Amino acid sequence: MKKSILLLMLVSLSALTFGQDAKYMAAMEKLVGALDTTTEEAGMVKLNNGFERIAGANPKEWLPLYYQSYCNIMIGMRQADNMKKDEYYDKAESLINKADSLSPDNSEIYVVKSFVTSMKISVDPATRGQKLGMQSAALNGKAIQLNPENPRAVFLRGSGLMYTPAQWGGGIDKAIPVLEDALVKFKSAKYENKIVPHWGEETAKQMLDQCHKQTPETK
Amino acid sequence: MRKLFTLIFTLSALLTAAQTTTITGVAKDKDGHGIPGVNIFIKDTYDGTTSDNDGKYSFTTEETGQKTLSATFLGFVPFEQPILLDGKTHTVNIAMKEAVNELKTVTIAAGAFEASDEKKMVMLRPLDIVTTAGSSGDIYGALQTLPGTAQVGEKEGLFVRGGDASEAKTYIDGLLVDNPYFTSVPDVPQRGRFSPFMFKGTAFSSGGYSAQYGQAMSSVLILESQDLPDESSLNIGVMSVGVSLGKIKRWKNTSLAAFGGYNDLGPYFSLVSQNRDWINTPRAANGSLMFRHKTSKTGMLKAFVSYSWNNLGLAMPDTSDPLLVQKFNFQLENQNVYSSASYKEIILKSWTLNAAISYSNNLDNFKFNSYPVKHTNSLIESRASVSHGIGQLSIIRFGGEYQKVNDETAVYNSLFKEDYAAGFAEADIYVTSKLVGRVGLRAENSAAINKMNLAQRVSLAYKTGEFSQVSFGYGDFYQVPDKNYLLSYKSTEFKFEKATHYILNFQEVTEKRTFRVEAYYKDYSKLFFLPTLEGKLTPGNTGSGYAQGFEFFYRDKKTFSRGDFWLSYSYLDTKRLYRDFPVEATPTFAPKHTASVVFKYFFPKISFAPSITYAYSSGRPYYNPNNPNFLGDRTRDFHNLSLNLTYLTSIGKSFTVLVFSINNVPGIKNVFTYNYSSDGSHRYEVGAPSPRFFFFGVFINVGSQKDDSDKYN
Repeated sequence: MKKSILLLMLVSLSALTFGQDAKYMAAMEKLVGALDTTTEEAGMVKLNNGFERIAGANPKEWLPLYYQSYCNIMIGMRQADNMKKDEYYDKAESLINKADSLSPDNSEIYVVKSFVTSMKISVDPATRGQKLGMQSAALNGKAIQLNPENPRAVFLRGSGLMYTPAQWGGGIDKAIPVLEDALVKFKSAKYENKIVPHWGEETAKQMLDQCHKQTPETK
Repeated sequence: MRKLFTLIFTLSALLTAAQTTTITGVAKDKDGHGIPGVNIFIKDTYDGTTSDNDGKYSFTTEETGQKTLSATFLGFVPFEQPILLDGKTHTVNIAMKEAVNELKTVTIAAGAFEASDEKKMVMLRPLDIVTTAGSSGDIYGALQTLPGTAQVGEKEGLFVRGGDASEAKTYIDGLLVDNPYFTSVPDVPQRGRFSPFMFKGTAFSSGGYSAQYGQAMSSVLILESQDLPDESSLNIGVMSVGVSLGKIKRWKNTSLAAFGGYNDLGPYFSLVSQNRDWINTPRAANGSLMFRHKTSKTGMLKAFVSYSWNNLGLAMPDTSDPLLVQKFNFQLENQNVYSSASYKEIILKSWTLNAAISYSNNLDNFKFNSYPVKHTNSLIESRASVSHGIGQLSIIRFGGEYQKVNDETAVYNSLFKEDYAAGFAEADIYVTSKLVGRVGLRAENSAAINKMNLAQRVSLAYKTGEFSQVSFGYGDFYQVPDKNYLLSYKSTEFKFEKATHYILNFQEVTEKRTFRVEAYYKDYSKLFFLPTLEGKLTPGNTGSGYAQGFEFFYRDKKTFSRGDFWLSYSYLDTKRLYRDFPVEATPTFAPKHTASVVFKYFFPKISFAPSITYAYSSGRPYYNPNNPNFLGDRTRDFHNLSLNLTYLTSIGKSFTVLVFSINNVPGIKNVFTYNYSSDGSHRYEVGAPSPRFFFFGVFINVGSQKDDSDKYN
């Protein structure tokens, strides 16, 4: 009798904790799945809000913060006003730093750190380029160093090279092999579940196409 | 047994029974407009929603009991309200408050010009200083393109709103710098000692500045040194005038940087003709060490030590020779040490502590013809201040500083000593985010003149529109009279010299355009004066004067998509009766009209950035002993056109900057002043040291492009 009550308690307890995990996974899967198909700003805002709620309920998880940061970058990119852009990029930066403190030395987090830094440069390249350019490249370098197989880290490097003028060590010629390498890494990448970062492949493809289109002109 | 199970199941069923609460309402801003995109949710749960285009929202939750309803949206203060989830429908209308935001908050602006990377809306960025044509990479050179400063070509220093160079002081990390320029050389203006790359923030005040600073009747230049550098680097510079080397090593929380340089103008002077007769062409060597350590998340320790040496010799017309044919030889060897340490940390949760000390020592070995004169000057300074935020915006700060000066000119055997102590208290009181008042008090004591003063400073600023504001500034500014007078007239009772500023400012700063207009009145009193009364020289603080004027500044980055230009104009009307003036007159350093136009352009495809600066100044008074009207003559107008070409590239993996600049492109023959022989029969013109100045430099950041893209090629 006592045994069976104990057993029952154990079962319900594990069901409870399993329930928590399952709830987290389900909620994340839904949002991360939607992220792959969302393009307009209002949808991104909804996703951002969803990730914010999950982050609040799961203060030890880095992924909701990571995605919330990513959403803020996406929303920022869709702003017309530079000051608004900056507000979103600042927010994205503080979120990814928070994620970094929960999961240090995470290649994916360094990718977003570098990404947001590049976006900040795009707001005012003339004054920010020199300082933040080096910072962004260093963060990107760390992302690759932490996981050389991370396709997003390689993709970001390729995109960085594409937008960097040749005399600064960038250029389309240099970007093409890196983007090609990124696509190889995207193909071979294995994802343990549906909520770990897996974005970027489509954009990398588009960027490579764009590079190929531009090459004849530059040559 | 069965009963027990039933009981357990009933209980658990009861516990998990879906009790649904609905929460609905509208999220609005302070004007009652709905805000779309607001995240409204039960705190620490998954339950919530996003407001629609009209700010309306509605969601359900199965949570129960006392919880918190949260609403967040970027740019607004997070909203929180307790809510009892009881299975009913609740209507909660949410009034979102706009977050305090640098861009939406009024700032104290009267008299202020700021260059910062960290703040969003400043008129300049530190990089602007370096890339301004005509500045020659010198902070003080760049400041001369801003309103309020005069173009004075015959000597160094900031001449602000009718004030002479001694009325403008330079502070680094809160500490006064006693010798910010290289030692003065007759008729050859000197550069600032410190590289503009050392600083992350530059605040230039042309009046009405904070009670934190003193002993400057006109202006303060507040420089804030860089924090931890981003990464290790090695920098090499090769210039037409010398070489420089810098090595920065960065650890996680610590950095150490070493810089060294050697300049020799000899080779350059042998190629390009000069207007001066050099007997020893200028040579200079310098070395410095910079240490940074992040002591905690919020703590920063900085230490800096630099040594520099320079040597030059110049032959100029001897004014004691009526025909100005004989030469007077001026030779100088200077050694300068500047060291400082500062510490910043947040203590007791919300108080920011700033503490700093410095020691500097300057040694000049002059030779006037063959006559040696040794001049030494040392300054020990300490400073501590605390500041504390009140509410979201208001802030109080107070602190004190102490300076000990020893200044000795060996040949005259004259020793000047000063023990100076000051304390200040200041509060920035935000009535709303649109209205701020700053009140400050500063008390100073000078042992050299054995006097004390109490100065009040008041500023008000009101935001008149989204990007515009008006400011008013008022304050008293005291200064100990020039030490040479203190030494020469020892029996005199000295007082502080005094200036009172009244400033009215309007500015509109948007991201791409800045417009600023400022008018001021400056009243000088108790200036040191040497009148002859009843045939007797009567030194004392009986001089006076005034300066009044207005200034425009317009900067535009919008009209030309990759171009950036600024225009500045200053009108100055000033007269003073001081020192050895026989009558009230406009001093030599005060032109009536000053204007400058700076234009910068960037070609991103070829990474090429040309910049051009035109500077104008109406003729300035000069002393002509033959004119009974004291300082009644004016030089001809001053014009200067400078060009700066910057090309960014890479050599191998090293980011490289090539700079070529020409000062005075058309070779206009400017006359800054005239020097007369002692009997007034002959004079010579003092113009620029050379018709044009060419500069070429290559600056290499070795191996900065650490990309491994090579492995793909």
